[in-house]
Amino acid sequence: MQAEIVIIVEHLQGRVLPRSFELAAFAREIQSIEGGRITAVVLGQPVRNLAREMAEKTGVEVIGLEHETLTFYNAEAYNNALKKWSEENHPRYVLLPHSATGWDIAPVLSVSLNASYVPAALSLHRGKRGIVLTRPVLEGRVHTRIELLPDKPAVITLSPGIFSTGEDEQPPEPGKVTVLPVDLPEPRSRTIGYQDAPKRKLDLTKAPVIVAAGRGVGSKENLYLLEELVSLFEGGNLAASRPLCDAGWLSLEHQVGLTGQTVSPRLYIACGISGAIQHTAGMKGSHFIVAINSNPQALIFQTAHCCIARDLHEFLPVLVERIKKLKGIDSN
Amino acid sequence: MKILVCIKQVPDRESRFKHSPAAPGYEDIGLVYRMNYYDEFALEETLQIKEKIDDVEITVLSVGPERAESTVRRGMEMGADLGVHILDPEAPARDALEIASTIATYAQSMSFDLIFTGVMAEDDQQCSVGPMLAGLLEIPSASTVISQKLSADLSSTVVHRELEGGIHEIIELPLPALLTIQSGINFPRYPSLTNKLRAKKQEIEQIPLSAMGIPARCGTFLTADEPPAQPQGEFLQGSLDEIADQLIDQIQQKTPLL
Repeated sequence: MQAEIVIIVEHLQGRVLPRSFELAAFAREIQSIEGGRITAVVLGQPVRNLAREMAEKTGVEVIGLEHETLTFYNAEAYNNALKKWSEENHPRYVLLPHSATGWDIAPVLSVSLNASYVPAALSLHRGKRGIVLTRPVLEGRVHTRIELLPDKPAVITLSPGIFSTGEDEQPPEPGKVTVLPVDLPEPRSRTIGYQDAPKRKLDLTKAPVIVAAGRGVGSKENLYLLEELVSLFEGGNLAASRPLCDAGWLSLEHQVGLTGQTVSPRLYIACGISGAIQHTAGMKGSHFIVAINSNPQALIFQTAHCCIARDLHEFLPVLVERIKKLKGIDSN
Repeated sequence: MKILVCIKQVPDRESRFKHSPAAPGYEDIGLVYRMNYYDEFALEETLQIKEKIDDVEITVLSVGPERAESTVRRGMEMGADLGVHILDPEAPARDALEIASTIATYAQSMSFDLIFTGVMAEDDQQCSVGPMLAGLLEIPSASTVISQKLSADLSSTVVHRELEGGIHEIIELPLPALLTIQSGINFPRYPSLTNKLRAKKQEIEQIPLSAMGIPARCGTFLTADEPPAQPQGEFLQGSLDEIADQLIDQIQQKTPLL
């Protein structure tokens, strides 16, 4: 069976994750340059519903591989299954999302398949000697262009959110679904189960105003500057980027970002936040984003609607005074 | 128990970077270097293992140019027993497989029970060297580990992997195993005076890359460029008072909040 472009479907707790749909768009771009058939592979037990979901949402042909060792995601079981399948089907491109699961297997798989490997790809184009991938370094300040090695398969992980499929796109004809049993060895590691993210007492998704603290705040003691600002807005809440939660300045409940909460308040004031994608992924949908950072080159300024390249320790007290004056609050 | 911690020296992320078309894509000019943020958590985790169990030897290893030696020494100041620096002047330009295959050549005869790396390097965020190294050494691995606990007989570890949204995936791995460590798993310590003095006198084993053989590549670096400037919001100008007034004005125009 010819299977030039293979998508590995990421799913969790019975649902296909949207970043798997993005892989189909990326696969189609490869196909438009090099031709080849696109196949999505879903691993699991049972797998039929997941395979159908992927086939319906993307129109791509889907193969579901089932074995008891695939009941939960398990890096070794996935690697065993994909290595075996690749030996029979010889993929040219194997695509995964650049997510915690994607980077858990893709590098290992690239070694198993003796493949080229490009993580966190943003885009691709036709080069002189085949496909060239673009990937970010320095959090996207620079884009590097990587050419794949000749005569080898390639494992590529895709940066999420780049190939978002539009809501209003005409749903394609569902792809064909085939479910096959596969015989796999017992992995050495064992997936025990899952634990939901802790229930948050602080629901930042309901806050109309968020003032968010980043490393630029400097110390836990300096958070009072932001707390003062927050208190001037009804329903205002304090949030934080991950490093502050890592350091224990604020509990995890305050974290906004990829592994924290995703928020879209009317007003988001980012103070001393660098703008790493792990944070901006959680707030870029906010209605009005203000960023305060003393470094005019900070990445946050690419996401913000209003940019203030000043030291927050000097600016915030001034802002607080002006707002108090506006509201007729006595400052003491 | 022998533990290897792979650490990377990275430029401070707030540095003013100047783009270069040659790998890694930026000039090594005026940059301040330090240990990769995530590697601090990886090393701290092993130091905590050492505090709980007898007979643990921790080796920190870095593949890097001459300047990487200071990061290896920093690892020893934090408490690692041994430091290894694989001297590779081209390290910043290497891809993940080149680095992983170099470390694999070193590690394969060393029988480490555990290998830890940070989940990613701050500069390129590839999240790849750790899992690749595990693949090359044919040991199980788990990435993005937010907690880990060794079994009483030290034959296995149960880890929590942190997925997007904060969900935890719980996995048991037999040793030897490789874990890539997520930030927030612990609070990395500052070097103690005792360890700083010890590290100052201690030899770091420096190995030239040539002793590790030719690293295998996983791609070919062509060039690097600066992406087109994203449409940016307006930069407010003037005195702090003036900026504050402009900001209040904008908030009033765009939201009903003031």
